[in-house]
Amino acid sequence: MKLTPELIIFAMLAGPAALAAVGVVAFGSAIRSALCLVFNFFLLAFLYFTLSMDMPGISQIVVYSGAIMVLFVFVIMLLNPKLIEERKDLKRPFGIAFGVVLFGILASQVLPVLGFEGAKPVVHQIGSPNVIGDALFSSYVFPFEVISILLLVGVVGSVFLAKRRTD
Amino acid sequence: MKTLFALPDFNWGVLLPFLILAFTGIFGLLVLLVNPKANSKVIRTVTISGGLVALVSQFALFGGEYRSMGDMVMKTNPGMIGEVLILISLVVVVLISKPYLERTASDSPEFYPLLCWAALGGMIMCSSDNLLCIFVGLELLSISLYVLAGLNKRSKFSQEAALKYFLLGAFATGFFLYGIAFLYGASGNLSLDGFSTAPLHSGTDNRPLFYLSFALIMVGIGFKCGLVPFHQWIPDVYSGAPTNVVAFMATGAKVGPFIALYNIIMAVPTMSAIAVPICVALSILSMVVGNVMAFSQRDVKKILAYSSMVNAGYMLIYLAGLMKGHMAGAFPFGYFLLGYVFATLGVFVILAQISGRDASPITLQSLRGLSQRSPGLAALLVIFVLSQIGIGPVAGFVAKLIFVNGLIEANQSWMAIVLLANSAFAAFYYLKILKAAYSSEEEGAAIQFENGIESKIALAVCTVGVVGSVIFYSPIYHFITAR
Repeated sequence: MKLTPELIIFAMLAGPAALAAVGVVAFGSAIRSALCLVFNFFLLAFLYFTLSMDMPGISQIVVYSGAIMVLFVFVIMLLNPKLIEERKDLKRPFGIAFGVVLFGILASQVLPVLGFEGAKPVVHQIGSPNVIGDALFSSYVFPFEVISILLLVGVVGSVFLAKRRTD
Repeated sequence: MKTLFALPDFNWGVLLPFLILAFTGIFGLLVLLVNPKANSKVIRTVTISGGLVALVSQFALFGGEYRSMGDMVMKTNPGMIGEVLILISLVVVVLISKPYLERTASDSPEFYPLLCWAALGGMIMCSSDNLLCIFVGLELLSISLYVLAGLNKRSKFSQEAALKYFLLGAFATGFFLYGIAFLYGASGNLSLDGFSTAPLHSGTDNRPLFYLSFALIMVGIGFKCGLVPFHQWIPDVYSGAPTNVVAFMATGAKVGPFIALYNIIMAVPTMSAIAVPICVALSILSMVVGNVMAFSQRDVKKILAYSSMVNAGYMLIYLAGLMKGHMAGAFPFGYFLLGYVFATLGVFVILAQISGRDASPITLQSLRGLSQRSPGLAALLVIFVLSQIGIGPVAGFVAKLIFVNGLIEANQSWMAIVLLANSAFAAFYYLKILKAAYSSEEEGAAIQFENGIESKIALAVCTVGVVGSVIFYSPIYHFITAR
């Protein structure tokens, strides 16, 4: 395997991302796990950029690293959880087994493509804002419009549930 | 002139029911905006008329198959029957909601638009074979229902039901979405066709991804249909949520997931080697666990919750038989849904009439004396419960008959026997409901029920549905399957 600049950049992004992912499950404190998750999301966004997937990268930063993680950290701060004590129960081995099986299945799909056939050429444009916008307003315009109703339901529902009882 | 981007073909006639329903909800909100002091009466009238107009525009589509918006919207058969059922249950539930909500003092005008949009979500699920569309419809349906489950803010049960439903539902949605992502990864396609065409072209090397994707999608859809082992939420939510909301949850809101289940199962014949055992296992579990759990219940809404799992099991075992025998069964499936929806809706209309003002659980005890106070109501209860059991000249009987017939034609007689054995066992707890209604009331605990014009119309619709669909079986069959 030749050492190319792409490979170095990939290693610099993917290594810490994988470490951060381990950190999410390894840390006992919820806030540390959450911060690791932010770090992981952020690095993933840059991995998308290296694949010239601009739009997924941008939305990864804006939506996940920005909005969703702030929400996570906010909730953790509000609830102020104590260190979670490890309990020995059946969930743990099941979780580990499920994770290993999932990894095996995915690896069996991904590794042959990488190892034997060589990496496929990057399809340019697939993640550009133009292509995504075009798809949203042409072939996917129906689900796109339904989502506008979905957002309306979210707004009406949250206002309704949060509204104080007037009696 | 060069257009900026190519719009897909629009067929407004096909989209009309969706548009009417979406704008009925928005119009209801606007009424509230213009006149905040408007009571629910205006919005209720708007919702009922919107539902009826949508029903008419949906009926106009029968007798053909349509595609619109590229390939996103399709109107084919069990789906169109399902959409009619959703609209009917919407109208019936709005009818019974007025007296119920006023009695429990939880009448808020937001209820009606949210119900409209929940119905819209179910209809979208019925009319697409694109998993992205099904997902968006599922979310529209679920999020509206999470809010509706917490409609009664005075009742702790209702709030608890909403929270449980929301947390578990969001988790199940994650599984569904994960499954869609794997299907896209394996086939490069979001349509259900990806299941049947892509594995043929790409050989066997990416089979594991298809299996994984199918399994995850079944977890998500199984949660919404209430298949064991994804059923934990149903008894608590049914028992805690307001009765009029549960009436919709058990009928209109179940139709969308069931039709999506039908479309998914019909799309996977190429992997029936793995899909059939999964479906058979899930359906037998649902039937047995549902029956056993229902047997010891005293809360009527919980009995109905478990009975909905048993019904989900019947439908899934029929689909498994179809898949094994490589057959199509659009009409029998639609007819079974019809029988299930009308009978369940009827029972819930009666439960909403007798439930008290404190929104406490309705036990078998509280049904006692119904036949003395109102022989008519008790007689209707008999009709609906008999349809659930599947005996007598009612829709439930004919539906089970054509299911058993279909399974035998598909050479799966043992599945038919499992179905019949379970429905015989189910008769025991259904008869407990009737026994309670026909036993004499205890002293000092007179059963209260309201008997307004709205409930009478609602009961009439359900009775006509349960009995009329047997009498007019042949005209309905020809109307629906006409080309």
